[in-house]
Amino acid sequence: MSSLKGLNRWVTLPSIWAGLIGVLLAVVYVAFTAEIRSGTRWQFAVILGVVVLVANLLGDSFEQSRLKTLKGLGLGTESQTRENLMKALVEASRIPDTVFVSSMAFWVVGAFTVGLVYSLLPGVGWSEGSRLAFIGIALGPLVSVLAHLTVLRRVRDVMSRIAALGLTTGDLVRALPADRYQLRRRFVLFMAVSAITPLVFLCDLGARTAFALLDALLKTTDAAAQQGVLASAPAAGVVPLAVIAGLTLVVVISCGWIGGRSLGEPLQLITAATQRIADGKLGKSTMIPAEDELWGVSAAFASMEHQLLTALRQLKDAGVKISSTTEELISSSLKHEAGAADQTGALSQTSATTEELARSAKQIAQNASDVSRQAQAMLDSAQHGKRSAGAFYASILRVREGNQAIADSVVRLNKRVQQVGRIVEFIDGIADKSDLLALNAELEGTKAGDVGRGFSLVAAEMRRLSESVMASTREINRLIEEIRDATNAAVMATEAGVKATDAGSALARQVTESLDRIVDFANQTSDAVKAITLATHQQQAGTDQLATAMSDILRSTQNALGATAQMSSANADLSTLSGELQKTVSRFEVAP
Amino acid sequence: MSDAQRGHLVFACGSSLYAVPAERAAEVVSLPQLTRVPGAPPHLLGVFAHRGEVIPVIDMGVLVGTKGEATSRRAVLVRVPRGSLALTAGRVAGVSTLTGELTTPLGSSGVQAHLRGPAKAPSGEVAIIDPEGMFELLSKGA
Amino acid sequence: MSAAERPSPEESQEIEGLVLCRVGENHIAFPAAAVGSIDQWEPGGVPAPQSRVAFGLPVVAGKLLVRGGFSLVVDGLEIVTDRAKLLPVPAMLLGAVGGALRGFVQPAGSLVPLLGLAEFSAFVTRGAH
Repeated sequence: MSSLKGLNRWVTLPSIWAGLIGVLLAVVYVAFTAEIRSGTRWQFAVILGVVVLVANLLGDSFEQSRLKTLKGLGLGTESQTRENLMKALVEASRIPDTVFVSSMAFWVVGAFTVGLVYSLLPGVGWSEGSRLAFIGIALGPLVSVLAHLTVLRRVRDVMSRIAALGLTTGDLVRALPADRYQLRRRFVLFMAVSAITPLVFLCDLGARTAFALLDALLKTTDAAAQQGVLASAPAAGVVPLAVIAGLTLVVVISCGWIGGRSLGEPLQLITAATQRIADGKLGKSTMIPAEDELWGVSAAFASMEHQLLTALRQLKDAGVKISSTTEELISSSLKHEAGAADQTGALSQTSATTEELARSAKQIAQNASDVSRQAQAMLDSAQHGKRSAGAFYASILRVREGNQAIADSVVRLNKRVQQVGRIVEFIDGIADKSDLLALNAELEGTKAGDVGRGFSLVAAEMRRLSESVMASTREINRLIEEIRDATNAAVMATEAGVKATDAGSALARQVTESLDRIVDFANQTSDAVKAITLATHQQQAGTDQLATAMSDILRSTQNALGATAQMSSANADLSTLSGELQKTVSRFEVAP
Repeated sequence: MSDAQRGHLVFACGSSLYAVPAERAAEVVSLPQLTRVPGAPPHLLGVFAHRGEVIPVIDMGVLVGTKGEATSRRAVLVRVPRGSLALTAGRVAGVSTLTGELTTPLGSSGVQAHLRGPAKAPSGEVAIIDPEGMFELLSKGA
Repeated sequence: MSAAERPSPEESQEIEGLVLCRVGENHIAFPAAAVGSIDQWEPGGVPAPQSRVAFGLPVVAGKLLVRGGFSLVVDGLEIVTDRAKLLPVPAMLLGAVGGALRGFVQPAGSLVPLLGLAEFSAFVTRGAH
């Protein structure tokens, strides 16, 4: 931004004007009091012009060298960082004093130079030159003061503009610490200059007039001429005196006016700002440029406004937060109350449950001991059963052995019976064949008639024999069948017996296994019973603890209820407070 | 000597007793496994070889119509001039002298026509078989 | 075989070459010359006289014997090439099997009726009566 463009030049411009006014005053004074030899006026003018020009140039360049950052910002060669702005600010703040000093210096040097150079002109003596120098030196302070004051106004403007580009109150205070309280010194200086310069001029003028009068008196020996000189002396001296005095007065009064304004402006601005704040318009605090003590006031005021703004913003935020927090608190305290009521209800239930727990624990302990007794009884009977099963198994084994013996016997018997059967079959076959033979013999005998009768009888006898044999074999066969049946029955019985013993031994095994399981179970049961008893004890202990804890909870719940009530009233107060706070804060229009 | 004097061979077949004239009864044999003849009538149980001769085996019980004696081990070998046959027998009583009706046919046609009786034997009531007649009958029926 | 061909009881002939057929538990035999061809037969095949009918047995699959215009189904058969003694038909059975009975042979010791294929085939066709 080029709002700072050319400010470096603009700010020092008044010093030039002040200088020129000084030169004018000097010229007037010189015109009235100094002797410029005729013929040397042009030289004097040239010398004066050159010196003035050179002094201005040099002075200007010196002053500009003190405004590098400001120039750079104006031209855009420097970036508008806060550091640069602050640097420019500091440069600008120092310019009035710089201007004063440089003005003084250049006036002194310039006056000397003019006097010196003029003295060097042919026909001009040192006294004229020294007189010129004196005049310049005498005017120097006043002109410097004027330059200072005029530049000061512009400097304040420039500082405002720089500050407006983005410097906070903090930046300003940091850049220009309000610790140079030199107002008194300046005032004294200003008073001195304002007083002494006219005095000097007046003294000088008076002295010169007196000396001129004296010279004129001394020159004339005539009393009448002396009187004439004396009479015209005041008149001759009045006009220059008046003019000089008038001009000096004008300058002094101008300086006073400017100075006074420069003192008064900041105070007015501060007053206005204070009123603004009192009215509640807290806005962005703008910089009120000032120097020395006034700057102290301005800086302090700006800080105060800034703090106030911050505080009010915080208050506003706090107010809002408090309000919302209060609502939350109220709602949570309501919930809390409800929760506390629930808690009380739950607690009474819990205490009922705890009593039941205690009862059931007793019951469990009772049952556990019953179970333990039963488990023991079961264990005893299981072990008894195991012994019986063992005995049974042993007897089964014996039976099996017996069965085996029977089976073996039966097998042998069957073999014998088979043998007998075969023999009997054989006999039967023979008997049958015999019978057949006998039959056929009988038949042939019969056919032979008488001859064969005896034959037939023998045959018949043989037949009877065979038949009895066959009857016997039939009997034997029947017996064999009976034996077979019996042995079959025995075999079947044995098989059944074997099956039975197998079944029996399987059963015995099962029984033993079952009994083992029962024993295990009994053991487990007694372990479990022990565990239950232990747990019951623990539970009792736990129940007691629970009861204690519950009464604690009940107490603390009641406390909580009381606290809740307190909290409700506190919340109400808080609500009221926050409302009041908001009302107070709302009086201030805080720009965001 | 007449048939009656010479005696009869009495045997049981099923629940009945039969008698064959002794001179016609050649032998009492023990039956082996019989060979069945295709298309044979039910009373012809089969044939068997006896002394190089093929003998047909008849079950009188089946022929008569009563319970047969198919599983018997014995048969009475009957020889007639035309040929031989064997009659299955359960039990052979032996040669006996019969009394009663010796020539009266038991029926007018069929098998009964060739059975004479009722005769009496020591073992019970018998039906006397006429061997030649029965043979002729069986030859036709085969 | 005509009556002249049938061996008398006194004479015993021999026959060379038999077709020994199995019908259920029973056996029948034919002269080897009597059989022309042998084929497989199953129930539902060509209609042919069933030897099983003659024994009162149910019909099953078996072998089909063919000679000339005659055929017969038997369960199984084997050819016996040895000379076998031929026993004459007993007098009582001269008319048996519709005249197909020609004698009895004993190829393995047991008695087997020797039949004529054509006559037996016709006998079975008639209904085995």
